[in-house]
Amino acid sequence: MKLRRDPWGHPRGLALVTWIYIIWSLAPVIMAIRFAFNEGRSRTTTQGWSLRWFWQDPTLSVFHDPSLHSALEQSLTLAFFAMLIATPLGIGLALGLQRWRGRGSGIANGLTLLPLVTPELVFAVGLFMLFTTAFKFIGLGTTAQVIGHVTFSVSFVVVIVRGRLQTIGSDMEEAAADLGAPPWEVVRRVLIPLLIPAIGASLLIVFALSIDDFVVSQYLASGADTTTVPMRIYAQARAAPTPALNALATIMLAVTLLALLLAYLVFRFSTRGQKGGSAIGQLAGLDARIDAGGTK
Amino acid sequence: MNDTSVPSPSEKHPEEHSGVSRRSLLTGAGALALGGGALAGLVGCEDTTTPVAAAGAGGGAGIMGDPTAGGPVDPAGIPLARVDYPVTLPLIGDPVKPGEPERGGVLRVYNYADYLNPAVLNAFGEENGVKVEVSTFETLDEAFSKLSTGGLEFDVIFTTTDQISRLVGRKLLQPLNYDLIPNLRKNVWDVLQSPYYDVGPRYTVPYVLFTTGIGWRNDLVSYDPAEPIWDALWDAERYRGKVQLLNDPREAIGAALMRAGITNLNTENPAQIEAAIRDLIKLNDDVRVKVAINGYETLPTGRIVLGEVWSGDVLSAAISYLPKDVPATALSYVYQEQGGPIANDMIGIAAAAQKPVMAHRFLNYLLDADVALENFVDFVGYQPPIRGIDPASLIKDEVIPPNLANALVTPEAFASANAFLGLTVTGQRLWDRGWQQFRAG
Amino acid sequence: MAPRWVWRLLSAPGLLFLAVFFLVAFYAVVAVGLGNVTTQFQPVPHWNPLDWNVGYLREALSNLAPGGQMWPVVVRTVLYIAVAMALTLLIGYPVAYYAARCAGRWSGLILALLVLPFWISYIMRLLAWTNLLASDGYASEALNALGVDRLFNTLGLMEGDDWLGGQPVTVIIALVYGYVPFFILPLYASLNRLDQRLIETSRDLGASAAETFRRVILPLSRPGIYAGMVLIALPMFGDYFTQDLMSGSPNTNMVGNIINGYVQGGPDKSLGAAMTMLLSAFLLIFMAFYLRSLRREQREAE
Repeated sequence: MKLRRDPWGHPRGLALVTWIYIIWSLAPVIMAIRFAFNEGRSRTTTQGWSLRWFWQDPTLSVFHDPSLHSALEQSLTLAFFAMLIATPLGIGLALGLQRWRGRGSGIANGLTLLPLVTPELVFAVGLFMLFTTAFKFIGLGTTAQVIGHVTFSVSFVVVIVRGRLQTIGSDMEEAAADLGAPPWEVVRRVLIPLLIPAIGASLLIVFALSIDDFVVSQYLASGADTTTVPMRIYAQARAAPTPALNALATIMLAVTLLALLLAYLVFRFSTRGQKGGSAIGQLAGLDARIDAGGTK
Repeated sequence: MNDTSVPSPSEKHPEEHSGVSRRSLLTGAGALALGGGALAGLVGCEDTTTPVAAAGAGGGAGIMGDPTAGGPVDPAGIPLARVDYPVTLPLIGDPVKPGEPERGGVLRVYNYADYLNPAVLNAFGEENGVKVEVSTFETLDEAFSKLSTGGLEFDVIFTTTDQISRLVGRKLLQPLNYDLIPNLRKNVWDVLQSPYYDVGPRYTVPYVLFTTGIGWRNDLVSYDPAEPIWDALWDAERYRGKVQLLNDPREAIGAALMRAGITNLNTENPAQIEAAIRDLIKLNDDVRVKVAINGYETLPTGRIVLGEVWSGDVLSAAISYLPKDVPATALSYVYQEQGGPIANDMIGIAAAAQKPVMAHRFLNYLLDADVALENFVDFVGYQPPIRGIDPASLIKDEVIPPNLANALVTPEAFASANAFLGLTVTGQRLWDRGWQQFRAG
Repeated sequence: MAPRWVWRLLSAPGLLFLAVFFLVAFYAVVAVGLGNVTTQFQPVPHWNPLDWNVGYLREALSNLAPGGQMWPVVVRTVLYIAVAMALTLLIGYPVAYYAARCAGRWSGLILALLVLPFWISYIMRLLAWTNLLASDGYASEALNALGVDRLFNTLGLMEGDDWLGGQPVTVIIALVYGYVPFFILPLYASLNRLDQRLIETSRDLGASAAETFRRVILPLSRPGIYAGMVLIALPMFGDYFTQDLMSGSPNTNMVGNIINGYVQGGPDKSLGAAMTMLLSAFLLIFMAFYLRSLRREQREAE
């Protein structure tokens, strides 16, 4: 529990603004979820309750329309590989950069932070040009999309892990080294265990960034089997959308929140008794965003 | 023909290879007889610092029979087909040999959204032991742009009259083996057995027919179809924000050209295009158009009340997208019978198809009279040029609401077709730049 | 302590990855933008700077410059983003302030709710609005019943009653809606770190709440404001999907839509690449300006 830190008492106006904002930010999404359960075809008015758009409808439901459930598969595939690649790359970068002083460190730091402030469109155009000219052997498709997702998420991992490294300091590591542990052992036995919470947060933020991504996925897609959920929503919303689209978005959201809940429980369990920012904050990559925006 | 010019080789760029190599074209050009200017276009590349040259011979008369004449050619050097100027496309590669269709796995199809009946796809898939997967594009330019990166793996490609030669020129299509598509001879209208855009035919089978016109909600809009039809868009100030313009540069600019009385839908006259763009910008200022192609969904639901649509869109709206409280009689359609676009989409097979035999079978399947009817009247709303799918009987049987009878295309109307067709490099750029200017708002 | 090379080795794969897929990818944009095209409109990148062809860059520049074809789009983009940022500040600051400093026992819940939008796909959040703002949607009907459409009509911000019919106001509000969570959280963090003693000192010295806010809290939170602003402004400049989904009209097209149109939708990829270069250059200046002012603020605060 936090102490009240405004010595002038409780500002009711501000409370009102905050709650209105929260309703404004979440109510539309709740309505979108409601329409997913419509019995009728409308996505703008509520028409009864049914699971038609999830699996009952024989052609248009998420379950029966291959373009919808394959989008779900592709989104999860990309997120999985992005987590698998971006997290170790980011941890290595963070460990290296944290101790890299002097020549080259400025450039290395800059290179790591630049993607955080680069608009996605610039990434997307760049990778598209790269994969359709010089790197034709990679081409467009899932590989290109995974590379794209890793490129824009690795910097977040670096910021999260470096934040953690700063918190834990270098005492334990030095102690281990003094006792004669070789560098690799120090990393494996001392640093990595201490970094577990940051690694968890990194995996989660990469997952979130990847499944949320639209622009890079779209530029690097090669066809229906590389269409992600946001791409499917975008394309279908501009053609003839049905509540199945809402159903798809709802499933995606449920999967995400489930992952978040799971991670939260694991995170709370593994960091019991440790100091640091709130679990929720760290999970949201809050620290990453703060540092990305505030320390450079 | 138009006042066009051929591209000339500007600077040498040894690293570049145009889509069609000199050799493949020469071997395929036996009957084609390309002019020297055309060949120059193949190996040259342009540099915006040196604008595409106005050099080379103009005029198109007689180039088919006269190998020395230069004529208007598309960016790949293929002569530009016109309704009254049929073109045989060069053969690049060999058609696939007959054989067992490649069962298992996925047959990849590239098409507009909502343009194939999912039930038909499922039935084909079950019958043939293959999963049909449709990737969609919103505009043909987007489709060509993605296809020409060469990184996409499709088997079947849906396209249109203005795209076909550049797809062939980029070596993105393979010649078809028509022995594997007997339904073409058996079922398709005579006028499309050897169409002007693909004499033979060599690369395509026709898919569906359409006209371009004005669709509107007669319960929400008072509109007199007696007035010159394209004025309907410019006069729709009262319905600001609820008027559609097709998200297709050819169709949108075409509407402005036709309103100005120009029936050469493939004009490359800069003055005409510039005037059309100014007209479109004025249209947008006055009416604030929605630039989209989903009129089949937005018109019946009332999100637009009037707009430039394809005839199939209003039928599709009546068949698949009517909300419960809107009767089919609320939809109306009118098109320009003299000189307006009356054309068809077509299907080809990708040069890099993984399942070419299965793809042929798919094309044949879509030309089956029963399948074509099911695809048409149960979902897509675009009419296939199939004998026996007769407009008169469709209306008599109330498959199509009588008030939309004029959204159907008869063989007679098709015979007097006008269509958006391929352009020269200069023309293509002229239309594209104009469109981008319009998009700036 | 481990020798230096160990740390450099650890960071090598990541650096290599970023060098190739970030720097070389950006160089590919430059090579295409300063390259050429074939007669079939296929971009031919010029990797060697000696071969660079400035034709497309010059054309992009003249299009985007005052009086050029795309100048209205540039003005519109800057205007939309400026208004959206002002609104974001207006909405985001009180919320972040309340959540960070006054929420008391609700702070955990409020923070969780503020973080939640991060976990909902941006496109899904836009989809939700297309449901609600359609002409028969609930939000659209409610707003029109309240006369909000007429108010905006009078103010010249909207025409007619169709919220998705190409209204600048819809696009701007959608931008605010989409990006405001990305503004609130960094600001929340910086407000959360404010030194409580300074505020109490201010009160003890007799300053009123308003004075304390103006003289102490606001100056101290300025770096957080700048950080949040930049974090949302940069992606907004590359945004095209918000406009596509909420309007689709040429009247509301932004720079991102034009670039997207060239690169994905049309034959002029080289011109699109050249415009991407110009956008990046513009944003670099923006970023540098921001970084400098941020550092100055920090020095003053210390």
